[in-house]
Amino acid sequence: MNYDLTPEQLSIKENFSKFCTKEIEPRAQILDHATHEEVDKLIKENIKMLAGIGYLGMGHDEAYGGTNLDLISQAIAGEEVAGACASTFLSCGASSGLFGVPVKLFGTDAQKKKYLPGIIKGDLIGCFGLTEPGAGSDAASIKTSAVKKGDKWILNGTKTFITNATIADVALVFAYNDKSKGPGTGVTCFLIDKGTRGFSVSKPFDKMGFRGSPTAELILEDCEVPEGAVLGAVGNGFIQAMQTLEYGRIGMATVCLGIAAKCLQYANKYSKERNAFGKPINRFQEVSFKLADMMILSDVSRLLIYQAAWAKEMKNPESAVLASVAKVWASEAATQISSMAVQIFGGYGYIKEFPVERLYRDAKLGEIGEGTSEIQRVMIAKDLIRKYAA
Amino acid sequence: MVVYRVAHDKDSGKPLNHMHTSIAKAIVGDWGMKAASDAVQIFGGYGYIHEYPIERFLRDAKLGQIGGGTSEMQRFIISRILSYF
Repeated sequence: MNYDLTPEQLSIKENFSKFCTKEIEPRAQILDHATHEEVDKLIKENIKMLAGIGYLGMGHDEAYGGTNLDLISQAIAGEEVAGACASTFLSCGASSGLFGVPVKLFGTDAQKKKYLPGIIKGDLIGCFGLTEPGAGSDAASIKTSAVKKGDKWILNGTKTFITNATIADVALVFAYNDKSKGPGTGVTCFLIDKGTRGFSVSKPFDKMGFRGSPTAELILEDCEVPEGAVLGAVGNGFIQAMQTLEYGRIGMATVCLGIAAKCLQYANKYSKERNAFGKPINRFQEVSFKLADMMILSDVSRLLIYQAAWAKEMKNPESAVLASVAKVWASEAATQISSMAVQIFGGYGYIKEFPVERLYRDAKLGEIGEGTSEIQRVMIAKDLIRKYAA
Repeated sequence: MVVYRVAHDKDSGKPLNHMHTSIAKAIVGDWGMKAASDAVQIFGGYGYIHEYPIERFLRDAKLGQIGGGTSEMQRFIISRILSYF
């Protein structure tokens, strides 16, 4: 086992850090405070910029314009992007990850050819529609239905909390084609292009954090799609969704790590410059121990993310549970770390002029999105009980 | 992993990385105590009596936060290193 990054991975870290500090980070605060219309425009520009340096193609095959890099390299680049602007990470992740990965893994050649080059170049934006108003953690209870009529499928239902909904050119939508078969074989995933009749998008939500990444509902009213819109095969949808979310969990853990590392960077710098009682505040143990705790928590997050990424890369059967472990740890670490950062900044941490206020709001999503902390613990516990049952 | 990383540093002949060692010592010491305490709680009354090994784990775990440099000293070292960045 090796704990050193390769020279290539180190250079990815350096290049992304430089690019994001210069191009993305100065726009983070602007995006956070922008109106919904401005957000749609600005985030598209950010996606395009990052596509320009190859970020969206890191996990994709060379045949479609990607660079097919390992998951650890993706996490390294992702941490830098997320630290610069968590919203940008989320929108890129929803497009090339949550949308792009299932197309890569399960799509037909025609589907890959149609969508992946555009996604990788940032010309096309994708989104992933699983969650519904009445089905979050309990994803098997989705109500969206797909009925076969001749050589067409007719879809009805509503998907909610969909990242990129307002800017997406194409959506993946999961629907029951045969409720009697249950989720295992009764759910199918459909590719639905923007502009398809019966397919519309709601107004974006006003979120606490990640305000630079648009989130809205997808509405399907007798939405008619051809047979070729089925991703892979009929009945495979639920398994496709679960496998995709495993990657998504590593992604969500990575955005939390980016937020946490940035909080530590800001708080560390501030605590050296800010004086109280005649000395820099980092010379007070109450402050310095917070910094140490921030370092410990974020460093463990990073190791757990790399471990989960490595396991997935090695096709280790433990990879799903390791992704859950990384996600729970990194997200809960990020909420604690961002709270400590606000505390160290004092009054300045509580006003919008300073970035830790945004990071604090952004961090909370980590414990909710891509499977709540509670659901991760359910899965981790089930895995443990199963292992020790024999 | 934090412990293995320190071992890896040592095995590959690198100079001692105080950040790595202190992070490992602090988190493993503190979480060892938490895990042992949670285990006693799960065992309930049985976790509190000598017949089961669980109460011994809790007593043993406490040393992890004290011996070899207290958890507080590890945080002191980590914060001092951070102050150079």
